[in-house]
Amino acid sequence: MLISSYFFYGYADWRMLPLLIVATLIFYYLGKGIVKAKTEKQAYWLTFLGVALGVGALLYFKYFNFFIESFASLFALCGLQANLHTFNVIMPLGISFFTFRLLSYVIDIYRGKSEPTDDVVTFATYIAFFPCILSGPIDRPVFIKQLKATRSFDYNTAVDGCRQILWGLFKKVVVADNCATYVDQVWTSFDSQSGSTLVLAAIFYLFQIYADFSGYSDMAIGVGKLLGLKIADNFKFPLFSLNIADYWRRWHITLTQWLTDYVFMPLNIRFRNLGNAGMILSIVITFVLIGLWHGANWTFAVFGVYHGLLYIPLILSGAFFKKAKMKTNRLGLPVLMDFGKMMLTMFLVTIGLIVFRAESIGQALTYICGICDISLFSVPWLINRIYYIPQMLFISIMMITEWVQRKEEFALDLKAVRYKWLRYCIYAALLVMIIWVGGQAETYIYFQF
Amino acid sequence: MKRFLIDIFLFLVMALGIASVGDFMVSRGLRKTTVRKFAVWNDIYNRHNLDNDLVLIGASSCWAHYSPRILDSILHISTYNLGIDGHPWYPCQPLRYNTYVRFTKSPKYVIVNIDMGTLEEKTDPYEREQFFPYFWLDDSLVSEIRECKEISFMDHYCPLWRYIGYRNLIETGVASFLGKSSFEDDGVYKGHRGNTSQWDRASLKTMDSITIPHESVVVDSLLHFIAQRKSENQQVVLIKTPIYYELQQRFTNRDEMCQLYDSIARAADVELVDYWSHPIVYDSSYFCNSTHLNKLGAETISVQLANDLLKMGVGAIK
Repeated sequence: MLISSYFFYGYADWRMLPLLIVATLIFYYLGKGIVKAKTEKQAYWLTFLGVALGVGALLYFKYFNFFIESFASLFALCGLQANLHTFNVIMPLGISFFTFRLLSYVIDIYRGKSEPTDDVVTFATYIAFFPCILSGPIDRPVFIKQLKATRSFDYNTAVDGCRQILWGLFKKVVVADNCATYVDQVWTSFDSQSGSTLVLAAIFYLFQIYADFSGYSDMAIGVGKLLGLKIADNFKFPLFSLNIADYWRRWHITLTQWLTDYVFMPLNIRFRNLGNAGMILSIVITFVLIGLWHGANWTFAVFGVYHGLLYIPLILSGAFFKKAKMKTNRLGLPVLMDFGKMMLTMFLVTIGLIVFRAESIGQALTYICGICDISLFSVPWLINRIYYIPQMLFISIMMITEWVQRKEEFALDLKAVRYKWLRYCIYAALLVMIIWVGGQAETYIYFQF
Repeated sequence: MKRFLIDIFLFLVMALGIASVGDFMVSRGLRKTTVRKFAVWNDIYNRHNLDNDLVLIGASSCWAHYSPRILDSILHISTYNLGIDGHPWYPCQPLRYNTYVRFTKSPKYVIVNIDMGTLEEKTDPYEREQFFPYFWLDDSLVSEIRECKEISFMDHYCPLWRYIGYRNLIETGVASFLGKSSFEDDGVYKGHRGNTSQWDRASLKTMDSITIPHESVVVDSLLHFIAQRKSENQQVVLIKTPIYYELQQRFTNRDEMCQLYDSIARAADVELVDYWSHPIVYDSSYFCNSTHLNKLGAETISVQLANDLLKMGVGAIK
């Protein structure tokens, strides 16, 4: 598995393979060193070294030019001419994902939550595990136990894995890639588009990014199941969230949990004397980091602040502390109140995604101002009307399937379907759709992060 | 494990079944359309409009410039335009001709249209999809285009694989198979369709100076082709197709190319008709862009060509 993982990574970008190997070895020995440390202080400094190396690598590869350019702009605002140089830094693929795995390894060992492994090959496999290295999910060190354990073939798990791969492929190829065609065209000339077109593109982007990222996660988890491994869930039907807190419990779960454990919780303890204000501060800081984790751009920082601020009403009203539970009527549809909450949450998420998708804050503001125009009530521009009727159908299929199956592990969990022929009909329908509209070959959005 | 492998096998059989039925529907449907990309290939493989006395070979300027309807009416013989869009001489223009003659008699007259890109050595997958519907009909076609059109093993042997990513083709093919008219009936007649677009100077703006490419291997291939035609007692005529004069002024090697075309004609001992200086090239109302005549221009130059061919003894009245 390690060879195939390194081959997979090297095939995507061989130049950074040595960096991955060196980083793996350093953290492997740091983990051993932390346990063998004679004093608490020694263990602390070794952990600190690991965190500094991990965060330093992230800062250098991902944010160096961003900071230099930001400082230069700041100096320019003050009327000073800063002679700062940027470097042509090549960002290693998946750095945000494998660095977080490395960091959690040393931190968990220091906290006594996990033991260091004696098997360097297993550790390297955990870091470079090929389904997860480029776009997650970000598994925790507990995953190493699965890699070490003896695995036996389980029919139901393997079949489940195949179904999850098929469903992920459908979401990526059929929904995400086709939404991307429209979204990209609108964004290239958004300043001349009508308000209604901008709204439609923003909604399509919501479906695109969800189908793209969750589709990849489904495929990664499916491959894991085929290998007899349980990869952590990354999405839990987030488009049916009742509020922003609920949304972040269901969206990119492994990243949110990672930052909750290693950033939010320590901050929250530190600021506990400040009451709600301390919690809000902790959340905003955590969300700024979530935003900046996506890339070196102020849009991501604003995206984080925006989501952090959306928590304020929830904290003040106490809704943050309650687990949101969807109520449904006899037809299995959400009750009106919950439907309204769902729509409001999706509206807020969509606004945030405009900032996320924009290349600059100015661009995001222009886009949002473009929506607030009389042309909002005009008919949106479509590249080709015939093209979009099936597209709406595909999005509907995804949403209806996910709604019906929302209590299952993933949408194509067909254990409840008793008839084999019916299951095969469903597979056939998905295959037909994949062949019909597939092949746009859009890259995964989260590969760039 | 055994049960799982059986399920995987069943799934693959089902997928293969769906793909085979889909391939059959799409390919058969596309072979019934008159969409530009497929119109000529469909005529060839469906043996429609064949048995012609004269064929024209060339790239986009060939199919856009010369109307078989006009040539037929003046020359009183049957003509066909084998022009293939976006493809220089080698390898697709002779391939089109060779495929054509595999299904019908050899024409008495072969007109080779020469434009800016004819002697360029270029292989790219441009419009590779035009060959897709015939993959299961004609293995030799696939072997001829395999390299230049980047045809993979899966493209060749796995049903429907080659259509993935061509959603329009799948929809057009299925609609046509089900008896619905094609989404874009291009109105191509015997390989030609007049272009109704308005004059657009945009193409000139991007071309400050142009060096017409020419490769000796392509020249050799052209000479070899002409020699073969002559050995089969076919008359070959070369045409320097009309190009808008402003574009011609930007050629850095215009004189050199004129000498090269002359030398090819001399070496092959064939007539060379030169429309680079024809009055039509000075009037943009005959063009839709700097390299393509519009419908009016095509009709005008087709009449001119027919009359020039008559003078050379081509046609029914001899």
